[in-house]
Amino acid sequence: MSSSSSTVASTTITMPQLGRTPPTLSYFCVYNPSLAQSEENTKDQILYYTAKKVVPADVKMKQVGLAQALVNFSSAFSPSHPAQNVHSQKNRLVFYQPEPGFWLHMCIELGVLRKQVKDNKGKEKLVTEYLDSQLNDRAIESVLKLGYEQFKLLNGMMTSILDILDRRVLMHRIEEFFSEWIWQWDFDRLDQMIFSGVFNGVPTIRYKDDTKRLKILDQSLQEEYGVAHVMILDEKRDLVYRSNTLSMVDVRALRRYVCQMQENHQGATEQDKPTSSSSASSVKKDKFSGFKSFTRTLSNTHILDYFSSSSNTKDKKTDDSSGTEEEGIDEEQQQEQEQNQQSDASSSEEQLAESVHGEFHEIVRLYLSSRSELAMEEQELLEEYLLVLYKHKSNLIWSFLIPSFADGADEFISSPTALTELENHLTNHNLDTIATSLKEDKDTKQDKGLSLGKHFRCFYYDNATLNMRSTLLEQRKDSFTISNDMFLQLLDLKNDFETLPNTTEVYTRSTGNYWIAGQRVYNKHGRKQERRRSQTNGDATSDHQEPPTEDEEDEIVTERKRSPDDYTEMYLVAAKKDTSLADVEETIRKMSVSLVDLCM
Amino acid sequence: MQEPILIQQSDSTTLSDQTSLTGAASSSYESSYSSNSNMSEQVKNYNKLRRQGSRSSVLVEAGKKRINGTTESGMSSWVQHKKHFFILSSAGKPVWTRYGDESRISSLMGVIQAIISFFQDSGDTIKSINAGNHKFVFVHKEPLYYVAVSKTGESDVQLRDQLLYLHNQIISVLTSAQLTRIFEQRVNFDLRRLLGGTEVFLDSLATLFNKDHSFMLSALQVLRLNKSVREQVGSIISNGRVKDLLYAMIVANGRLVTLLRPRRHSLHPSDLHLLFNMLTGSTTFHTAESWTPLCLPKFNSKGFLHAYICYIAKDVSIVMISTDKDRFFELSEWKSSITETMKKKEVLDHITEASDQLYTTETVGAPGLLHFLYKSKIHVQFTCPGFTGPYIEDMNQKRLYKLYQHVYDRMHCRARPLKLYYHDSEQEIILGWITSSFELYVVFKHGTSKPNIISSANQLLRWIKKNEDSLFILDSPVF
Repeated sequence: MSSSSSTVASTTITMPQLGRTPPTLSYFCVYNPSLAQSEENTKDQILYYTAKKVVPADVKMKQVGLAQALVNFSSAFSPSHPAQNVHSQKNRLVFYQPEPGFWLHMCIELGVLRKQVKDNKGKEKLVTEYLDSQLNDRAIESVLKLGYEQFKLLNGMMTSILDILDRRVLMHRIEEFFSEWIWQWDFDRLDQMIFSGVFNGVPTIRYKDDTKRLKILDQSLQEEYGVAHVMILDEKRDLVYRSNTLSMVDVRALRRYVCQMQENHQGATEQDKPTSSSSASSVKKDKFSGFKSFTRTLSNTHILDYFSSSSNTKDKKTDDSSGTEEEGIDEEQQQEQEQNQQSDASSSEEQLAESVHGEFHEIVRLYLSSRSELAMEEQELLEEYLLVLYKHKSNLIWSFLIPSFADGADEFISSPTALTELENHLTNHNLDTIATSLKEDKDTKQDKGLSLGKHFRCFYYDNATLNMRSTLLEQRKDSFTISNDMFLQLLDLKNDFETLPNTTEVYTRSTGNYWIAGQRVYNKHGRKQERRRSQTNGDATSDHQEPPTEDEEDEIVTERKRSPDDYTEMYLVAAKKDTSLADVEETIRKMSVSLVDLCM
Repeated sequence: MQEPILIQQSDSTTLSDQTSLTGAASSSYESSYSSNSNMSEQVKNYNKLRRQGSRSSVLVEAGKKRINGTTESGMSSWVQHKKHFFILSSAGKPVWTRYGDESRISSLMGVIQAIISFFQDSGDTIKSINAGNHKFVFVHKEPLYYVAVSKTGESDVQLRDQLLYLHNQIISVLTSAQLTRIFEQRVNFDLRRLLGGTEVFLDSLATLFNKDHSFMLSALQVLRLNKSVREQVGSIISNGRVKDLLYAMIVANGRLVTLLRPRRHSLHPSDLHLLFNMLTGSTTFHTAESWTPLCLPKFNSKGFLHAYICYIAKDVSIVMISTDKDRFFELSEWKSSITETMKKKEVLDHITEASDQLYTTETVGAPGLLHFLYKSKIHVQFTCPGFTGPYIEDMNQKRLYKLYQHVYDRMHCRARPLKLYYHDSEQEIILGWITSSFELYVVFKHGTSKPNIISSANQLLRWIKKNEDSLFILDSPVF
């Protein structure tokens, strides 16, 4: 990483305010050099520009011009990977080219520390330190990647919009998405950037019998309603189920979007709640433009019609759902809020009380790389889907993806009874039973936990399945909190794994006496062995788990071919002073054992 | 008898005499580093290419193409070198490039200059660019810009330090005072004329950065030598000291044997590294006595000293630094008497022997131990064994070198320094361990358990402690 901050005499400082100023976004832009046909219309290449301060047009052009100069200069030596970031004394420039020719580019003003120091003559002077080392390149780059991921989910590829529609539409869509999105990031909050950007994973719980039952349900939905893919999240936004046809990359983008929707939904009823949240899965509140694009094609009143009718729908099985059941919901609701660190618990109680089974959200148009059966060979890279989002009373969140070009798609949207029928279909297929069983299974797994005692925190990430588990952000009174320096040190380890070939283990002890250790394991031989272990453990501790059948086992092994991207990473943070190298090694061993129980 | 080569440098030593900066200095340097002072541009270019070819990081084929002058393909292979260094003036004029010919990269230098000044215009300074595996590092030392373009995996800090060494090398030829004055008078000055011939030292420095850990550790590498032998050498060079002498030292193949210095002046490691680079960087010194003006930037960046350099045996040289430009003959005489005494007392043989046969990890006898670097923080010296086992192979040696660099950099990160760093890969395990008195980087066989590593490392520390007086120069002679 880069050298630490430099020290400059006070003469250049205009604001002699002592203390630390956090890093802030200076400007963000999206440009495509090929859009400027001639010297005269160079400004046409800027598709979007936003800045902290109002900036004259020529300054914008200068900034974009510099960005291009830097990219061109670096690509003379590194043609395949042009400039990703530029460190200067006061700023950090970041570049990301998600599609050929399209650049997301931002400039962050470095955090600053101003302090009074005595020089060697004993004279007081003001010293300004630019905190270059506090801003991790991998973390801030991940912010741009994440932004593009969500933009693409809601709008499709920039190239396609430009080709099929036109420049103005593209500019409008980019503005619609990024104008709020980019400003919500606090570049001081490493935790957010690490857990939603650097390790952009999907916490997954592996169920056995339940998955089989869900698969049958998924199949029937496909046959009867033309639902191409299904994704189910639980109340903690852990992945419960996905259709095999839905790629993990899509699950990742979709899950983030669904989480955001849920949060906005709650936020709508909780005014003035604190927006910052340290939850791994949540980013600060924002509004997605997808709604708007949808409402252009679908009448709002119709949707509202449905929601009112939904609450009146009768179903005998749940008619006897008593007050206790509802309390259960509220409890879960609260848990969820605690997890999200949103203290105000008076949530969407009223709404939930109205609906008996669950509730639907507005239908949204999305773009995924996963193919439906309707997809044609030479079709575009992305396929357009309608997302029907359903929150069951058990707090399972269902995402149904219907190809928007399917025969029944338009009818489905316009039919006033379609959603009711869908819900009935779920209920008829024993959704309630499955939900209860899932919850029981999860509780059993949760009991085992990943806790390694108050002196240790850990984090697990599987790059092949995108599964992740973390206790780094848990708030525990008896334990320590992970500091920004610890996060930075963890990212240094991540960098070691990425840059030094064949690195399998790195242990570090800081001068502040805490340990951060990491282990990367390449899955060269599938997971057969580990599954055997979990099998024996599972039998001993839980009645619900049955040993996997031979078929399942083979499926998993063949699914995971040997590849440089097929690895898992484990990180351990130990803040106890007298911890030895051997202690750390022993704890990592324990951690990997409990992970086998949890994730296999 | 060797014919002494005298470098006529009387003009440039007088700092006030500005006219000397042009002709005299450059031509005399050329005469000392090449046999033909009237050689044509073409021949010089060819020589440079040959020089570069021997340590080229791209295929030899590429170099051949360049000589033939095929610009397109030549340029593209030129780009592929693992680490470029560029020096340019703040007006954008090329001064030196590690690879290729300065005159052919002027447009690239123009771009670099434009980028740097763009940042300057907004009151900012560009420091580095990251692009895939490439790193671009910029250092501005008025009136010159130094740029590194590297895909070696070295960090910003390490590349920056290397650029500062290149800067110090330029200072050691010109002094900072001359350098500033030249560009004050003519912003557009072509500095290549003044460096005339000393580019070999920039070239060799650039190569040495990836061969010699002294730069990274900012410490001196010392030849392991029996304590009594070292003491004998020390007392020999303390005898019959010539007037105006500042330092005298014996160096064996880049490792210091002993150093005589004034009580009040110690020699900065960085200055010594530049000196050692001079010794190894040019073959001129191997064949004759040399007398050359030289600025030691950390000692005094504004003025010249005068160095007497002579090889007294294969790979063993004697270096004497004087403040007076007229001491050549006295120093030469003194050297002869020193050499004679050393031969008579057989210490010279001991030195050559120790230099030819470096100690190995076998001597330590710690299980699993493959290699190590140990720096004594108190003495600013370091020691390491010769390469054995897997590291006899060049490829493994290079990997080990990079690994040391990586660990060093991680542990010395200014924002997040580390006490301990343990790294396991499929090839080897390295443990970095820093305390208030030492830095240890120790390498073990892959598969060595952690408890065994700790006990072996402790065994190594005990061995170093026991052999401290032969591994390090604990007290050097002073006057």
